[in-house]
Amino acid sequence: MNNKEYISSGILENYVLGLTSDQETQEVEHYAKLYPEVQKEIIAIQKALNKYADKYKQTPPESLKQRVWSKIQEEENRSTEAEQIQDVKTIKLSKKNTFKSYLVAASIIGLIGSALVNVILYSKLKKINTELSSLNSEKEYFAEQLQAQKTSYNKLQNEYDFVSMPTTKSIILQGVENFPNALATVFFNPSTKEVYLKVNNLPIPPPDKQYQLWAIVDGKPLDAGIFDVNHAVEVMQKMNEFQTAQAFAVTLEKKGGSPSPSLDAMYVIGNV
Amino acid sequence: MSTQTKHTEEQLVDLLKTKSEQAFNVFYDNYSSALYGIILKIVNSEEAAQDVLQDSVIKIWKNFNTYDRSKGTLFTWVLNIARNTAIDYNRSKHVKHQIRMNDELVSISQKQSVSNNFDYIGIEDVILSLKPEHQAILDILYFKGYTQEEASKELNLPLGTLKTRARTAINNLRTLLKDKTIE
Repeated sequence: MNNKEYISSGILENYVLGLTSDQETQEVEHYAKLYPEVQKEIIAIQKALNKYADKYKQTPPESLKQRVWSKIQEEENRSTEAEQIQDVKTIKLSKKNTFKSYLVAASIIGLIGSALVNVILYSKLKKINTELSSLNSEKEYFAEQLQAQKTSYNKLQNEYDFVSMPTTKSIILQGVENFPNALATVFFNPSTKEVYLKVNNLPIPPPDKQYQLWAIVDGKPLDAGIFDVNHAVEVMQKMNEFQTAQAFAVTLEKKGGSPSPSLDAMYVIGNV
Repeated sequence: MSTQTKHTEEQLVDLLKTKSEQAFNVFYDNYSSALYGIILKIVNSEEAAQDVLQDSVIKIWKNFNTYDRSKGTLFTWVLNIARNTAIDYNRSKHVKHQIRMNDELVSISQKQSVSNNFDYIGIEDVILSLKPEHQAILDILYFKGYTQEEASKELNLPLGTLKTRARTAINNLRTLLKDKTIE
């Protein structure tokens, strides 16, 4: 899917209204980072909604403004006061410890303490580093998974778009006499010339053989490509392109395909 | 937003970083009415709405450094904080998270528009010309911060229809705004 299609898919509107799943939200934010036009669109949607916010606009009582500002200042003063108290305490402490002996004792204790702390901190650091690297590899694993999901989603989306085009014809290829249960479907669009094949039911061929799809054009069978049936993940397979065809048929050929079909090994056929 | 003072959002963001009294004034003058109106719709009490608005502004003030311009508009960020503060208030007060029906919301806003008409001429008309079903969906999702499950239950719509209708609502709103050439 390109950016334009992504923007017009409606996912951004749903994202702004909080209607996307966690996975979709991550995807949108990822795209927004990568593509300025996606980010721009999100902001344009938000801006339109912000105008909608005027619907309930109501002025709060005038006195509230001063109240809020005083409260803000109060909070800010409180945090600076806390800092000052801290400073005073530090000064008092240092005044008490003016005797040299105290200083020496304190620095020795300090040194020992600091060495101990170092040992503890170092072992903690090592542990954190190990955890970090395992988290990183997990992150990479999830990123790969996400990428794979996206690829398969985009492929499905394209196939779905193709199948649902009004100009796409679906042709059911029925099993011939010898193979009454064999079944396949061809989706053929003369305007884009694309041909997709969905295997509904074909036996798994011996290792030295492969199925081949034929397009019958003006009475002549033309090679439409070879295909495998053991691809459980493949929903549809893209075949060679044709502008016209009167029928499609599948035969079993030697591995790699044949220049012309072996008619006795025909499994299914269907007219356009 | 129809704003009284002529500050672009970018200028306002820069100003807010200074944390000055001037920044507060500009921010409050521009955003308090919109936020107050929305908070009022959620907490249903003027006294509570004032407290929630105060808490929201303080949160915004304290956490302003976490606002990320690339992720969205300032108003969207600010609205989120106000909305969440209002929802938290309702929860803490054990106020039943009960939402008035949409047509009631519309009638309230129409009443207001009579009294405050001078404040926002034009935009009000645009918003009210949006279909009630579209207004209802935006109210619930955008102002009240409902999750998709809550919204689907409240409006009695399947999730798919909810998403499609939300999308149409936004697109219609944008077309209306464009037609009126209001910025």
